[in-house]
Amino acid sequence: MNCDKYFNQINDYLNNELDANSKKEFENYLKQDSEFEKIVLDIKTNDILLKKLPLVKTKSNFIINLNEKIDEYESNKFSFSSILNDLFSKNNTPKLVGVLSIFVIVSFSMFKISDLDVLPISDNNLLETPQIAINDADSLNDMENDMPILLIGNEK
Amino acid sequence: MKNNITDEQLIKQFQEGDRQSYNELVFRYKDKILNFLYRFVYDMDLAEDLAQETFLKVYLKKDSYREISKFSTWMYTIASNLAKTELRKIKRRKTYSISEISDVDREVNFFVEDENPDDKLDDNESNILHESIFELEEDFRTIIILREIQELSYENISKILKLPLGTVKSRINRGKLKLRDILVNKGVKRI
Repeated sequence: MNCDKYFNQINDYLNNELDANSKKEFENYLKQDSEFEKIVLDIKTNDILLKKLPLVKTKSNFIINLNEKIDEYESNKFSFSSILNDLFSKNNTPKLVGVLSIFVIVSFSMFKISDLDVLPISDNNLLETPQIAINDADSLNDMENDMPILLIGNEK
Repeated sequence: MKNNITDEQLIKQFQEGDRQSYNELVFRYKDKILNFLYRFVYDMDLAEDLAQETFLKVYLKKDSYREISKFSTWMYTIASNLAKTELRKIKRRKTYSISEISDVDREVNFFVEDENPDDKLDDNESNILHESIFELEEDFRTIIILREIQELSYENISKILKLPLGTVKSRINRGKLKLRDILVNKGVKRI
């Protein structure tokens, strides 16, 4: 719709940002539509009023208060809670996940190695350890409890 | 004083540990940021608190600034986000009392620049205009303040609000039309 087109150009027109042809077209439309002309003039006035709004200034102790806050932050920087906060902040999440993953992997590997230490199964060990070969499972009960046992089979 | 140094040079020096450069940045921007925040939240005490928070954040997050954008753009982004968050909190807390913020503000004294006293609006006019700005939806209010009061460029506004340039321009236009409607509804007439 033509009307929308000109409504969208109001700001550009007031800021003198329309090219020569568009500007001429816009001004022709202004002459035809008095209501539209009124709106444009209102907006032009409002733009001027907005620039006339009184400026506010910070209180005289603004910088002093700010520096107090900063000093307070600096003095708390190395407290236990702030270290924890820093550690668990969003920025550190990838690092934490990485460190935890490495910790889990290392712990798991250590566990596996220590598992092997407890149960050494190798041909040499089998030869060096006193053992008894048993063919009959029923006779297991008769064996001394502290003797290592190698079960070969249970043929009936 | 470091008058001849750009904002970007100052923040770089601050990133390297020079606290004086930070103080200079605060000195340069404290009133601009306060004006932006005051127009936005329409409460002087809250605006001052938010301005403090903005500069504190600049201090704490100095290393997150990269020189791909202007320092002012980065700082207005921080201020704008803080103000929006705060207004949402207030809205949640005080949905039962719409006019509370502006009522508080009327009691606050603020200092008027006295360079051209005749050229400024009187209290009544500026209150009406302020209330009207505050009645604009948040998106329109932000953009009108940044453009018409803070006089930032379209490009800067586009970066601050993370909007395409075309959207910025059309939103300014629509914001102005809405502001005009609000003022007309309040009975304000152009003389």
